[in-house]
Amino acid sequence: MKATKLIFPKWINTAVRLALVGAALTAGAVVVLGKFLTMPETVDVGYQPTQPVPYSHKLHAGEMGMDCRFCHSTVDKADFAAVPPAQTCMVCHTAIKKDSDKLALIRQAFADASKPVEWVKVHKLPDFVYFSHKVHVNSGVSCVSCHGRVDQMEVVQQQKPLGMAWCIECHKAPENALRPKEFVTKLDWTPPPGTTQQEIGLKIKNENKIHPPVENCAGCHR
Amino acid sequence: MTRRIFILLVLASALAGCGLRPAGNTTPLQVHPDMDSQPKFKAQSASAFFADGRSNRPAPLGTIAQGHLNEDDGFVMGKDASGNLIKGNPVAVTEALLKRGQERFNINCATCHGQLGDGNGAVKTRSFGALAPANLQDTRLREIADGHIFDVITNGIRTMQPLGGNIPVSDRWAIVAYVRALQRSQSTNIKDVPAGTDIKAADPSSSPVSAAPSPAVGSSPAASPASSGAASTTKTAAPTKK
Ligand code: HEC
Ligand code: HEC
Ligand code: HEC
Ligand code: HEC
Ligand code: HEC
Ligand code: HEC
Repeated sequence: MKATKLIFPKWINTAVRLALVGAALTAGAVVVLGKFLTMPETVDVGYQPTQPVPYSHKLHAGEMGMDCRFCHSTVDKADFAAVPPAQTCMVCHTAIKKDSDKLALIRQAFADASKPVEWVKVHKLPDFVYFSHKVHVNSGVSCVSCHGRVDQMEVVQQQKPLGMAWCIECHKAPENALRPKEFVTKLDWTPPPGTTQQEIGLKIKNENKIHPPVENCAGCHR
Repeated sequence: MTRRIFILLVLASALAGCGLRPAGNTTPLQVHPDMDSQPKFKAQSASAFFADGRSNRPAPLGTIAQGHLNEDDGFVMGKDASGNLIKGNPVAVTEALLKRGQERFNINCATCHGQLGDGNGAVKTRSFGALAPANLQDTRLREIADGHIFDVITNGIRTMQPLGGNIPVSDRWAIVAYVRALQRSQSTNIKDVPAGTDIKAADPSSSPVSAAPSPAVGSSPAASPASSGAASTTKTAAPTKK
């Protein structure tokens, strides 16, 4: 009996090379696709949950021209933007469309404070991020920069990624977004003829010494 | 083999990609859930702990938070010690107060009462008369006590619901002052303009950016018809009836 020596056939060489190339490609693909697939742009933008009450911003804020702060009354006073309680709706809906089925949940919440309307949250940051509406709105950043044309939405949809890269992009050059404070809720505002966004933005930035946190991680992660 | 796995991987991730994009109603995927949801209460979030499901706790009835007790009835309720509505504004009326009042009026009242206070806000037309806001230019309301307007904002009146919950007390007085300015601006007479005033030069431009004379910035179409309260008294004075 001859001692069998294990000899690899020649084609193994090619196979090994192929395997190595394949592994490298796979790793590359996983990294590239993984990054692309999990970016906030891919994962979050477009979220548009169905709300318990078919409330339309297009009708109330758009057609009727109601100011955002009529309902989101804390937006320039606190970190969070209050989603209005049923009382705010009932200011009008005790008289207008007072028997509409679409408003049944609102009437129920108004009559019994222990049954608030459970609105579905659309824009959501992770709990480890600190965000304040007050600071942004009072320094002249409009709702439209972060929420899009809400006044044209029948149902609210997330249009901006709200990722870290996106926050930083504006923090590096806020002059591209700043406008006079009284127009923050006028979502269709454009710089008056003869001026540019940059001119107005830079002026506000310099006058009010606006320096949003960029390298200072603790500005947003506190 | 590796090739096949690779091809499979590419296909799988491409498919997953279609699924990851939130097509409307699907809740966004959490890639690294790490500390995304911490066991803490954020404003207006839900809570499984309290019976009503809310993390915001309403104050128990009949209590006042520390430091929030204000015993100045005139300021807080618009009434004097004997319970009568006060005639004047307990806050000193300054240009800053009027500007604040203008902003808050346009936010909280104009949808119903119109930017001029004439009762022709968007609600009247859009609700086909189901709700008929009062005309604040009415003679009776022109002569009524400041305390009454404050009380109407705070507690409502007949078909107008209370708005006090949304508007801090100091802002309510700013609005009252602005309503007075609005009423005056719609009933001025050329004789009200102090002798020797150059009416054109007095024309204000309402934007803070245009502190220096750059009218282009101020004259946005969005600026309200009744520019800054008191100042616009002179503006409207020229064209009115005489
Ligand atoms: C009549 C009251 C009212 C007015 C006026 C109003 N909103 Fe809202 N808004 C709501 C209610 C109720 C919700 C919660 C239900 C929903 O998401 O549609 C909401 C939700 C939102 C959300 C989504 C919040 C989330 O869950 O992430 C944004 C953003 C928003 N509003 C922005 C605006 C802007 C900008 C304006 C001004 C142009 C405005 N709103 C005017 C009542 C109002
Ligand atoms: C300033 C007055 C005003 C306020 C405040 C207001 N609405 Fe309305 N709402 C209207 C008017 C006007 C209409 C249109 C009625 C019509 O089409 O005849 C309307 C219509 C609606 C409708 C459609 C009803 C139907 O049967 O077609 C819904 C739903 C609604 N509103 C929800 C809300 C909610 C929720 C809030 C509170 C966040 C709210 N509204 C606050 C004035 C108001
Ligand atoms: C600089 C960006 C930015 C601006 C400007 C901004 N928002 Fe937001 N908004 C956000 C982010 C981010 C969230 C999510 C916050 C969270 O999940 O903690 C949010 C959440 C909300 C919510 C849901 C409630 C909450 O606080 O989580 C409402 C309502 C809202 N915004 C309304 C408005 C309105 C109205 C304006 C304009 C007056 C405005 N926002 C301006 C970024 C912005
Ligand atoms: C469109 C522009 C814009 C976007 C987008 C934006 N910011 Fe800002 N941010 C500003 C400006 C302007 C300031 C004001 C800085 C100042 O007043 O010095 C600011 C200030 C801040 C501050 C400092 C607040 C303080 O108390 O000092 C924090 C924290 C912050 N932003 C967080 C965020 C986060 C988190 C996001 C993304 C979800 C974000 N911002 C997106 C423009 C923006
Ligand atoms: C302008 C505000 C802002 C600043 C400044 C900032 N971050 Fe962030 N960071 C965010 C936001 C918003 C997110 C959440 C992104 C998301 O949900 O996709 C985040 C997420 C993260 C995450 C978690 C990523 C994940 O997917 O779990 C890390 C780690 C992080 N930041 C580190 C840093 C470091 C380090 C710095 C300082 C160099 C920094 N951040 C500065 C806003 C900021
Ligand atoms: C939802 C629509 C609505 C809003 C918003 C509203 N009002 Fe009214 N208001 C009414 C209606 C309707 C009446 C008529 C009440 C009646 O006679 O039945 C009225 C009446 C009044 C009156 C006359 C009271 C009297 O003695 O006859 C005053 C003053 C007034 N409102 C002031 C205000 C001020 C100031 C604001 C803003 C803070 C405001 N209203 C916001 C609907 C509204």
